[in-house]
Amino acid sequence: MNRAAAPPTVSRRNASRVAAPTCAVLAGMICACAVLGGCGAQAGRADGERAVIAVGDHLDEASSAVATAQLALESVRDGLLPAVTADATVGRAVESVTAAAHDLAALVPPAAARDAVQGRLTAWDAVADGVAAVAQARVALGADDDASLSDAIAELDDAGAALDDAASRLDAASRLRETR
Amino acid sequence: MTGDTQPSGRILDARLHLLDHQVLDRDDVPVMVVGDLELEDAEPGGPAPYVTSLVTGPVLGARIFGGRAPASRWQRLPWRLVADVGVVIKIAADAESLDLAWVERWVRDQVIARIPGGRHGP
Amino acid sequence: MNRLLGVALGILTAIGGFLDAGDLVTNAVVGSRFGLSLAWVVGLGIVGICVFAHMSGKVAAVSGRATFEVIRERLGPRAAGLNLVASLAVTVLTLIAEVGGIALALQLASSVDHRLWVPVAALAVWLVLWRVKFKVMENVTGLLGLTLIGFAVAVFLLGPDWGELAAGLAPSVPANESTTTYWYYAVALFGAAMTPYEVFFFSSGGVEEKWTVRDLATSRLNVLIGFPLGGFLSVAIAACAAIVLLPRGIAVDSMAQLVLPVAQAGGMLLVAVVIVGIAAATFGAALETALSTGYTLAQYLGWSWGKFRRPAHAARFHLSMIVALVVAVAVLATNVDPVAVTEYSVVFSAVALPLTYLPILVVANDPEYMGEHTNGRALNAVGSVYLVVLTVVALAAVPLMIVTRAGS
Repeated sequence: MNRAAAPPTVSRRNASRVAAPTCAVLAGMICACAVLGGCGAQAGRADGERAVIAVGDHLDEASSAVATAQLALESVRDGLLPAVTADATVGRAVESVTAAAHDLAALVPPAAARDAVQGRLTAWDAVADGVAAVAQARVALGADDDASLSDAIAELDDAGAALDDAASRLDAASRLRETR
Repeated sequence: MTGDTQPSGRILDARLHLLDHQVLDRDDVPVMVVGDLELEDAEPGGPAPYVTSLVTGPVLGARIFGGRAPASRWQRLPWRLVADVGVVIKIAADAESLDLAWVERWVRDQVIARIPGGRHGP
Repeated sequence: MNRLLGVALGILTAIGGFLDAGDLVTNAVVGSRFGLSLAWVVGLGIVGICVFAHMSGKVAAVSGRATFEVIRERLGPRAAGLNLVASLAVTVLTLIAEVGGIALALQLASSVDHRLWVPVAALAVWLVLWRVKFKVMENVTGLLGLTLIGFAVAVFLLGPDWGELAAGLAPSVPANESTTTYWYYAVALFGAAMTPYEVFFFSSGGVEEKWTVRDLATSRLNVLIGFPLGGFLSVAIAACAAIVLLPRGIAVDSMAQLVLPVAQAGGMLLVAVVIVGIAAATFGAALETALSTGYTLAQYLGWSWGKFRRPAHAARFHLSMIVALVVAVAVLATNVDPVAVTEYSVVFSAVALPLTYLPILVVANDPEYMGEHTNGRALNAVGSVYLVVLTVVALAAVPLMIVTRAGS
């Protein structure tokens, strides 16, 4: 076989080749990325109702981080988890709870929405206590004696209860407004 | 086929048998993927043209985005080296000996072979 | 033992799909927020990946062709190029997450900050790619990854109410979650199960191991053991989170929380086993994604590739893997959360999924490649149904991600 001849017309047999609407898909993806980028930035100003929901979300995040730290410390106290691993876990919880605090502080509810403003203030106290308790948990892990572990766990427990309390008060306030 | 005379050589469907197929050298080392074909005696409606060489390199960009790569930058594999056309295209030569393997050679000599262990088998 | 080692490729491939750094966390997130109400998606994903991995393994064994060569051949340079870009994006994003994941796993064992572990992890991955035989690599990471069975053990030790757990398997949206968020996670889990680099890696691995028609049984065994095992372990992780973390109101947001249910169940020993498993699984997934980067590029462009060759005989292949690892370290140096990175890979999967699996189905039916081993009717029927599902998922992925802000 020295030379091969190729037919000048394209054969119908290659139906398995799929023509691609390349440009359309590509443009779609670029638009999607742009929209996603826009969504990524947290809007600081929000209307009253959205602000109350956001405050509730940040309370949940903080309470999840506090519960994480509490579970980690309890596991260490019961001899179930190495202190090294617990320290890494609580370290992440510090990041989560401070992120919740940061987002809460960055939220700007409209002045007219009294329940949102008041809800944010109450939430702030609880979240700030949460940050302190989680931060203190790592000190207790370093100290590695049962007394300071128990203290830290009690503190986390209190912080968790305060966060739950703040969440239920926020709920009650927003329900009151709905009934009005 | 069009025309009265059968062309000498094997008749292939350019898209089904050649374009975008892998080319292997005689030791089954991948050489290139066929990006385009260089044809001889090609005229619309005329008899089947002959393939003179398989082309790779910048022609890929031309096929994706349109336009035409300058002929000076085509990397050609002459058809006389082709030994077999099947699921893959086999050539009767070493990948090493081909001009179009210069990028692979350059990366190997300038980068990979200079890192310790680069020339040893795993 | 030989039998077990024979399926190492399937296990390693499945780890990269179901149990890589992003999925470890996603599974726990899903468990802690939705209980087991999304486990059916994992089942759906297992069947799908088994069907298509089986076909790609068969194509590799019978014709010696790896998947991306077939994709370029069947789709032409444009559509295949689009698939290449999307697949590379998924693969490199996952590689970034894996290198970060290895570092996080090492932090769990050492308390040295994970940012310091990143260059060490990347260097270790590269050394394995550079010097270790494929067979040794897949056996060691596959076997060590099996220690993730610790999560399944933990579920048993936690002694849950099995009836309640089984009742939770029914698909339903929990009261405090929205329907769109539920479906976002459904799509994310399905996309993770069928992520395209699995078939690229599996078929190229078959070529690396020089499979022939005689190895068809090995290929089938790999598929039938590896992927269901991976899926089973991912459900076990979700179950752990559902049993321990869900009642405490903990919504998982990091890999470090994965060990908490395990500690409750089995104490220090089981925690140690699971940390080894997490490190091995992320390491294995890092190898899989780094190799897939090289495989896809080399197969699309016709370069010489393969770990069975000396690096000097597959120069551009090795160079592209080095570049991918350097990119991973550079991205991680920006202090980005490695796991959050993988959430965005859903966007790219949307393009890559149908464009990957259609050519496999076509070629597995082409007698020129397959001889007498073309697909049977049942396999084709299931494959076609899945192509429809994949297309729907692909179309739904991006809008769902935007509406739910990536599940938050």
